[in-house]
Formats: sequence, structure tokens, C-alpha cells
Amino acid sequence: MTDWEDLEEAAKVFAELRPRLFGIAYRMLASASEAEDLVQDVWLRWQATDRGVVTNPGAYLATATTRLAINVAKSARVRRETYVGPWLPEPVDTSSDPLLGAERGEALEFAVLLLLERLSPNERAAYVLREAFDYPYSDIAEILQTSEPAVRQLVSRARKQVTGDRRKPVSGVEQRELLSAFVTAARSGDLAALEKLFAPDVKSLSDGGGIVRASRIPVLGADRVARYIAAFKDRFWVDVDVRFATVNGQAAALLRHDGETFAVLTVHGSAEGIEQVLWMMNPGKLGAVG
Amino acid sequence: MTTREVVLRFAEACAAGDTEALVRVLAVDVELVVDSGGRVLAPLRPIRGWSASAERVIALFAARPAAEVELADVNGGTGLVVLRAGVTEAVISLAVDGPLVTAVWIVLNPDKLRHWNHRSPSHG
Repeated sequence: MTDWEDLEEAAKVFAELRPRLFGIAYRMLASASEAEDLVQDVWLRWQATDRGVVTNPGAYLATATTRLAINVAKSARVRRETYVGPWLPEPVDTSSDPLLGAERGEALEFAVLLLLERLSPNERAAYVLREAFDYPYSDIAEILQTSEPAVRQLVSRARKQVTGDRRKPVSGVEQRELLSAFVTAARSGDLAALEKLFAPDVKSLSDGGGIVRASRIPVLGADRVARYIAAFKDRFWVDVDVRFATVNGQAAALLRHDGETFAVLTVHGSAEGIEQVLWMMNPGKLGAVG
Repeated sequence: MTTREVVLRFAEACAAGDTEALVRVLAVDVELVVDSGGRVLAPLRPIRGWSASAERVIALFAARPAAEVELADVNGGTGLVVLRAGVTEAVISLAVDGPLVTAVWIVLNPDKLRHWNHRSPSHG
């Protein structure tokens, strides 16, 4: 084979593998430009390699790509610390290649790429090669120059992150948002806004204790609770000053009149919306939060 | 409702500048993240909750009059591209759960949109 033919053959082999190499690099770096530069780098190395001794070009090039990507990922982490504002993956157009060079569409959606960012580059590589490209554990061990049990551990830790961290119940921050949105809607008696905030089977409870006039019978259902709250907005909110605080580790609205707290309001939410509204209006219980 | 239908509703609300319609398609605890790289005016922190998120998304569209919104294949799912005079100004990826959008990721950083501005005509 002449040098020219040899180089042509090298280019042909590389072109066939290129989508897969790009798929690995993109998933590792969540950046199409960085992935492209990296694949270009692998191509230059491939030209300079003594290809006669390479028995499996696919394995050889995937190894080179993954190892380079691990290095780039390490330096990318430092660059991203100085990024202005939130950092997101560079989106890729997958209209012509929905799986982006892989066996499966894993590790491609934004949610997963963002979670992978939090893993070490080795964990990320193990997860990507296993879940998206279906590599055997033994091959991944060779690529990462580690043992098979170590790879299994990397993959399992990564899986736990990716599956375990999605969709938690409503957090404290969200609870506060719900509460403040609720107070705004309740004050203005905005029926539509109230109904939108509520889960379908929302419950409104109060412990007026017979001292302050308040309904002691729970009110149930989004439309009824909304109407109930809208109905008393004119009397209830006049000259009321609202302060947000944390009571028993929970976001609460302190409703004050003439500087005195007369009610503590809390809400419990889920992904559905507000599930429960609690009006604590028993003056005997309010001493501690005044 | 399919994911595609949810994304379509989201797109229509954005194109119409209709905050109410947008709120209807968002989960109450939706998260909005905008990546501008500091190069384009955009919120520099993630935003939580449907009302605040809807307002910010509508504001981003209001700042881009005559923008066209198209469905696109973004990272293996259905997403959106926002075009003005043929130039991609934003790519939007959405997380959808049932009939609701639970996360909105908007990429505005022009450096990250270069590939979208050099697509072959067949990809529109």
C-alpha cells in the first residue's frame, strides 16, 4: 500500500467511527464545539499512529476519545467556575441522528447532562460508555485503566445520582413561593389565581379555638376553598401587615394587626399545588412567634 | 397529551405572548434556567415557580419582536428554536411530565448557537 492509499484508508475508517466518537465526547463535555475540537485532535493522532499494529480501530479510537475527554472535562470544570450566570449544555440538533452516535438515547437530554456535570469525569465516562454505548464492563475497565469491580462501582454511583436526584417533593424554597403566591391571591380575592395554586383536593383548616371567629370545619376542594377565601378577603385583610418567617422549620406568613400577630398561615404543597392551608388563629398558641 | 403537544402549547403561548396560557402548561414548581453567558440580557439565576417563570419567558419573547418559534429536535427530544430574520437566537429544551412542563432550559449564549446557525437547509 502506498502512503496515499494508507492515509485514504485511515480517513475512511475514521469517518465511519466519527459519529460515535463525537457522541462520546459530547456526552462527556456537554459542548458540541469542545467535542468537535476533541474529535479533530483524535483524527490528528490517528494519522500519526502506527496503524499497522492496531487490531481494533474502533476500540483504539474510543479509548483515545474517552481519555482526552476526561482531561478536557477536568479543565472545563475550572472554566465553568467563572462562567457568568447559569451554565447549560450546548444544545445539539438531533433531527438526523436521534441517538447521536450511540446505541441508546441515554445521557443526551438536558436534565441528565446537568446531573452528569456534578460527577467526576471518570464516573461520567463509565456511565456514558455503559448506558449510552452499551460497552461491556471489561472494555470500560481497559479504557479507564482500572479494574472491572471499580467500573461497576463508578456506574452504580452515577446511576444513583442520575435517577435519584430527579423530581423531589416540593422543597422549602418552593414552599415559600407557594405561600407568597397564595397570600397575594388571597388578599386580592383573585378566585382564578387561587384555584390555579391549589391541588384539586386542597383542604383549608383553622384552629380558631372558638376565640377568634373562624371556620373550624375544614373546607375541601379547589373551587370551594377558593370561594371561601375570596369571600372573607374584605373583612380579613384590612390593615393587615404580612411578614414571612420560618416557624418550626416551615415557611409561614405572620399576619399582624397593629403590630400584633393574630394569625400564622402555612401551606403544604406537592407537585400538584397547595394540598393544605392551615390558619393558626388561636391567640394562646401565638405567644412564641409574635 | 403527548410531550409534543405540551411543547406545542408552550410554543404557542410564547409566540402569542400569552402569560396566562403559558402558566397553564407549567408545573407549579417549574424551574427556568437561562444560559446567556452574560452576553445577552437574561436572568442570572435560576427561577422557580410558575408565575415568575412564565413572566420571565414572556419577557424574553417581548424583547424579541417578530421572533418565530419552531419545534426542533433538541438533544433527542422535542424542543424549540427561536428565530429572527433567519438567525437562531435561542434554543429551548423542556422537561415534560404528563401534561406539564417541569423545567425550561433556554440557551441564549450566541457561542452555543453557532451550530444552529450553520445547519443544512434540510433541517430548516
